[in-house]
Amino acid sequence: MEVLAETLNIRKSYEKQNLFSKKKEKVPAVNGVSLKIQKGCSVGLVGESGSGKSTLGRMMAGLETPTEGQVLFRGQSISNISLRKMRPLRRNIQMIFQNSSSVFDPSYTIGESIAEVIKNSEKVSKKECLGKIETILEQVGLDTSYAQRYPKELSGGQRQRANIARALVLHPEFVVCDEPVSSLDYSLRKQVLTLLNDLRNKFGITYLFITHDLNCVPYVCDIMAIMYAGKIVEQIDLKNNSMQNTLHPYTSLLFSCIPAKVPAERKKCTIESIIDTTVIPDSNHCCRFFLRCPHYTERCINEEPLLKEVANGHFVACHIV
Amino acid sequence: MQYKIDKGVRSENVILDIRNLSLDYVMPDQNIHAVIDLKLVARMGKITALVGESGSGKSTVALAVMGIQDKNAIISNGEIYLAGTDVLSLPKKDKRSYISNRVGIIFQDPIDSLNPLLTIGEQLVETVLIHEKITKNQARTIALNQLLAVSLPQPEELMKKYPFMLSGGMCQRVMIAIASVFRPLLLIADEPTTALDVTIQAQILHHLDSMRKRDGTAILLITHDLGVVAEIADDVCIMKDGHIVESGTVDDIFYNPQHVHTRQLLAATL
Ligand SMILES: Nc1ncnc2c1ncn2[C@@H]1O[C@H](COP(=O)(O)OP(=O)(O)OP(=O)(O)O)[C@@H](O)[C@H]1O
Ligand SMILES: Nc1ncnc2c1ncn2[C@@H]1O[C@H](COP(=O)(O)OP(=O)(O)O)[C@@H](O)[C@H]1O
Ligand code: SF4
Ligand SMILES: [Mg+2]
Ligand SMILES: [Mg+2]
Repeated sequence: MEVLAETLNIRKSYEKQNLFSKKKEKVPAVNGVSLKIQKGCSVGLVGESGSGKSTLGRMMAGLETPTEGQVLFRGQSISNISLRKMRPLRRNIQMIFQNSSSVFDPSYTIGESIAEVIKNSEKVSKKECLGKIETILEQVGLDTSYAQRYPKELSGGQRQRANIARALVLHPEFVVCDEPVSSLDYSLRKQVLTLLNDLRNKFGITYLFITHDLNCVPYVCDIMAIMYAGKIVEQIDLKNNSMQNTLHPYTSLLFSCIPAKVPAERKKCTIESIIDTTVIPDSNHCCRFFLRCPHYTERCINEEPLLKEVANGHFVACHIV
Repeated sequence: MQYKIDKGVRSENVILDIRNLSLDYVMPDQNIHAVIDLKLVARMGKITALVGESGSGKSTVALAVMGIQDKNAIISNGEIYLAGTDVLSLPKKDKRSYISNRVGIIFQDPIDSLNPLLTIGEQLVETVLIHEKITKNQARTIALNQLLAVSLPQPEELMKKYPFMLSGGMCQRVMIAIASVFRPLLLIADEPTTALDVTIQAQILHHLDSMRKRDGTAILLITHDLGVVAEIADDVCIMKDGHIVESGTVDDIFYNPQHVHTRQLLAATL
């Protein structure tokens, strides 16, 4: 299979002002990730807030440069290339952001915003441009009259559809979706996921789908990757493995936190291991989950676990697996 | 005294009893009927979930109970009995303190609802001092205990921090600490976990659960997430376009839904 996008041990640190001294500290948001995304094989990236999902997504979309390592798109590095070289790639790599209201310029109509994207990457007549806008709006389930509306005149769900239309109008090959449904209520959430799925089948798009909602993953993804403290700790191919077969203690914690589907499945609120999420040791020579892990051993404190394949297409970074 | 009082409800542990409430938002060209003939009851030690799609009017109900609805809102009909007294019949000067002594509220976005310029400690102590005539030191002790009660580690340190230094989940627990510092009879939680991820959501739900068990607080939980409802609610009201279309116990709603809209909501869960 063809590798579409790939990261080679990438890292990204941000400088953060220490609040109690004048010093600036380097905080690693992404701490050594090697991820291969094959064409037609969408990846769901799951993890808690602050784990580095968006940072990884922005680097894979070419919107941010890694501090270390490379991002490849079709084998070509996009991490240090000029804007001119990036331009032809740009139309093939798009990003859908969580907050659709900040994506649209409030003084442009939806149609004008989408036209902007088209004109940036191809020379088209006004009529062709209009045709493309109307087609994509219909494909995301919006009436073509929405092209004349301003962003604030749309409900949250409609605006998220317009947002998707804007990202997909050029039929990109690779789309990074950063929490595309988190701000939507449940009936809209299902609509938008179904839409992303349809468009994937229609245009052959491959997604990097970022979410903290595990339930969404099997809907649109073929592979699930779990991220914790800047690293991928588990990766599982959902075609060959069941989602229930995950093995990393952090993944188990995530699953145990999903609310019940019906009252009979209620948990009895046993959440000892959900101690505070801010305690992450800043050493690279231990398992960064050990302070929260119910199974940690001596080894976990002294040695970092690396990703290893435990079954076909199933990788786990944990000493006890 | 001409307050409307209904003592009958006390025997059934009813803390909040909304009867036939209608509320309109007055707009230049039209009136929006945001709440229509709404009936809702919240009982001591129980979690009542108010569920509906966005725009169905849930937050409007919460604001009306708190008496802090927007200026263009008009309550055209109904009564809101809080601990047996209709708050809508109270004179303005008594209303504010009557409500704030009995009801706490937490909102969807915890960081926005804390004052960014004050430390967590200052905000907690201030809240305690509003409700009780005690010294600052005594208030500090109460505040510290309050933070411990919501399982926040190192409360001494936390008191010195500003809201932006905390994660979303910690902020939301601080909000719960502030809202429950004077042991309100009723806690209104408006989408308290929508902005948070699953592990933090589980923590917050755990705290709501222990509040009702430990203190007997009645909780009105506003959400569009039926998973949360299945996990901790006792009673459920389904809201659509300003109406309650169905209400019942959590088992009624999940295992024997009557209204077509309830069935649609259930079908939309993943
Ligand atoms: N521009 C930036 N400047 C400084 N720090 C940043 C910046 N962007 C991200 N960070 C920090 O990097 C870490 C990872 O951030 P990131 O936004 O990638 O996480 P996330 O998993 O997407 O979280 P969320 O679910 O909250 O969006 C966090 O600690 C965050 O505070
Ligand atoms: N200040 C206001 N002026 C006019 N309409 C409003 C105002 N606040 C809310 N609304 C309208 O009232 C309805 C219910 O809103 P809201 O209570 O916010 O619902 P929810 O919390 O379920 O999202 C919506 O149609 C909304 O647009
Ligand atoms: S390596 Fe050790 S601490 Fe880390 S997840 Fe595995 S058992 Fe837990
Ligand atoms: Mg993010
Ligand atoms: Mg609301």
